[in-house]
Amino acid sequence: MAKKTKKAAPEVVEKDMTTARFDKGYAIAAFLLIVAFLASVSAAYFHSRYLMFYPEKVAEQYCSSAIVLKDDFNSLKYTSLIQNLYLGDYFRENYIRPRLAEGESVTERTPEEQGELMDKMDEIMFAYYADIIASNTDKTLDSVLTLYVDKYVETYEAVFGEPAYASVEDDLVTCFEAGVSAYSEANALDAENETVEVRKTYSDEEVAAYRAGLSEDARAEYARFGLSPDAVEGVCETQFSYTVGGEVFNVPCTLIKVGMQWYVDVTAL
Amino acid sequence: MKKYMKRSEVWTYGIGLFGIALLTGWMPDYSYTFFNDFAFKGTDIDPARIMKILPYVTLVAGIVGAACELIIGILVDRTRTKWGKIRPWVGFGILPLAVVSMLVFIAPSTNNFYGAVAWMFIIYALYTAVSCAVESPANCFGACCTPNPNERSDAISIASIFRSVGQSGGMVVLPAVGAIMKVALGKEQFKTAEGQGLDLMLSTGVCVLGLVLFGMIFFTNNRERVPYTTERVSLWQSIKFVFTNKNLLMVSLTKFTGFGRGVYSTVSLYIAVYMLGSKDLKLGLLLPMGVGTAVGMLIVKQLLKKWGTRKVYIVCCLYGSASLAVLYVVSRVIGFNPDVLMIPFLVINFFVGLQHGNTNLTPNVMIADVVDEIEWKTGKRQEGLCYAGYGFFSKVAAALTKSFGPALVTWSGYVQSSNMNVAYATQSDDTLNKLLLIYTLIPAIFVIGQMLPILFYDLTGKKKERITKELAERRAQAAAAEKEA
Repeated sequence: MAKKTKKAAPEVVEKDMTTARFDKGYAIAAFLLIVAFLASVSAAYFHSRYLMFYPEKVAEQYCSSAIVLKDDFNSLKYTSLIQNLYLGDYFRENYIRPRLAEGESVTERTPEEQGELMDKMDEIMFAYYADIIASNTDKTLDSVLTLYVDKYVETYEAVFGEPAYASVEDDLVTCFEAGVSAYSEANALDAENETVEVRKTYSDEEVAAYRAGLSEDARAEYARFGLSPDAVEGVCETQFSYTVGGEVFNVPCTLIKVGMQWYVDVTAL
Repeated sequence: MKKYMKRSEVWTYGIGLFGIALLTGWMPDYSYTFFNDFAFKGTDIDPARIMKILPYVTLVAGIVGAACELIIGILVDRTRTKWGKIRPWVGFGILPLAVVSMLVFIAPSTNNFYGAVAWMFIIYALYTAVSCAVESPANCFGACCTPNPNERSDAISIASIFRSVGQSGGMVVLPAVGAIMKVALGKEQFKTAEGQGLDLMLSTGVCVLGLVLFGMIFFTNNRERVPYTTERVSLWQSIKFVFTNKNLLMVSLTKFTGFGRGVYSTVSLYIAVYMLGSKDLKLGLLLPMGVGTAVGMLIVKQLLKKWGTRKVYIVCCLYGSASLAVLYVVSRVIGFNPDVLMIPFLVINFFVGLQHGNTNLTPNVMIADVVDEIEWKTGKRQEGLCYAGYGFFSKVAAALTKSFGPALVTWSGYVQSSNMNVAYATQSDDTLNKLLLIYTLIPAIFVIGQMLPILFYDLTGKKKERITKELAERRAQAAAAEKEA
């Protein structure tokens, strides 16, 4: 059998490389320079903008949302409840999905027909959300979400004439968020001069004492959301002040530091 | 014919274009989002006023970009350094481009509306100018990487594929940065950071890093191997070149006569909603088309070796137009029923995407040939200006496409939903048909339109061979004379 001849490598014409040494040195220096520039600029900008690094900014966001805007649900985003989960996911997994029926709707509707029925749902559920907030003085997350989802499922069956299947999950969340937003718009305080003052930043010993002094209920609440008291690295007391109709209101707000970020401590509310 | 490039150079040219495209593909859309939604969030500045100003910011940047294309082209052709005429623009331009790009996403803390507006105009126009000073020369590097036209076509083909991939790289960078931020900050805290546009800022940093890393790999490994001429050309002569050289003008005009072929992207969301049944399928539309484009470029690369540029361009345009027509006919025959239409629509969409391989690749090879022709005719080699002329027409065409798309949506009679619970209102059959026309037959007409100027392009076959041969002889004579001197 004839032996295959190896294909000759094409002739490559080398070009003068007088700048090669400079080029390599320049490329390495330029890359390192840019890495240093990016790291310093990004870190400085991120640090100055990201509000979770500042206890007074977190307190302001929380209090402004919960007290002034009357948006209890979204204010939870700034609390120690949501260490590493989506508030929305928590709502869906623990309250919505267990209550929805399996299977799917076979009823064909045009987008307009669907829209009309959804409007009806919104009307009923907006009013119901306002009722829960008004009648449920504790406003615990558990009770609000449980009552709301039960009512939604019941109302859905009445309005649509079929069970609330798993496919309505997104609609339920949208309706709930719209209800929260509508309630907030209708009930928000006309507050002025919102300010936050840091009253006290705890020393290491005081932080240790704060951890040791947590009640059993507080520890249970921490544990429920995967937070160990030992993870609390700092404590800060702030005071949120605002004016309504000339009258000044002061609200204390305690924050804890976990990692590099500050959270409103729900157990201290 | 002799090979001039090392194998690694072909790849590092592609890697360099990938890095540049990674940033320049990322910037326009995300800087707009950043300005609109995040830059002045939490300040006293009214977001509605910012939104009204933004079209003017992009308009001014567009004008600056078009002017810079020509200016940079002229300056590139006048550059004479030991690094060559193009490499220093890329190698030394990358640093200011990296810094300015990052600064676009570092908004000043101000409550002054006019200060904010001035910052947006200045920083974005500056970015456009600096990016032009790097991107434009990098694109024309293919014309001087080797005097061997076949080797050059190969290098340009591979680099164009890398560039196309790089342009969409931001779509991967953003979720990857988001995933890392979620781990570092926590999921809900990531949303807080996202709400302040901090993920955009960090993603830009990643794209900038890619630009510098890949750009420097190109800078250190690649060499210009076509000797440049030393004659200076006046500004007037330069501009005259762009508009009077027949072949260059014909290639550039393809952008102008085919400007409407990109209007399909204006309605791709509506096509996903009404023809395929879900807005989420927009990605399903773009993905097969993107894969089709990449496959198309590989096919065109092979076709160019057999047929030559003119024939490939014409055949691919005819194919592209026919594939769009088939998509229209099939959709009409099946009817606007998402359950039945979805699969055939997506499959044909892939075949439609193949044509983009031609429009992304062949014109770059043609312009490299035109650079040779101009040198052959005049003794002056003007890569910078030739690519700048093409870039200028591309920018004008892009501006036309941007205004033509929304005008066509208005013509279709599209009805917006006024119900908060209905995202997309029901459309009449007439409107759906018009939306389909905007996605298929109207671009098909413009694909034919972009083919027409190429019918007058004559840099093919024996003429091209003669130019290549005579240029090689002239260069050999010049090199010998230089050696003697």
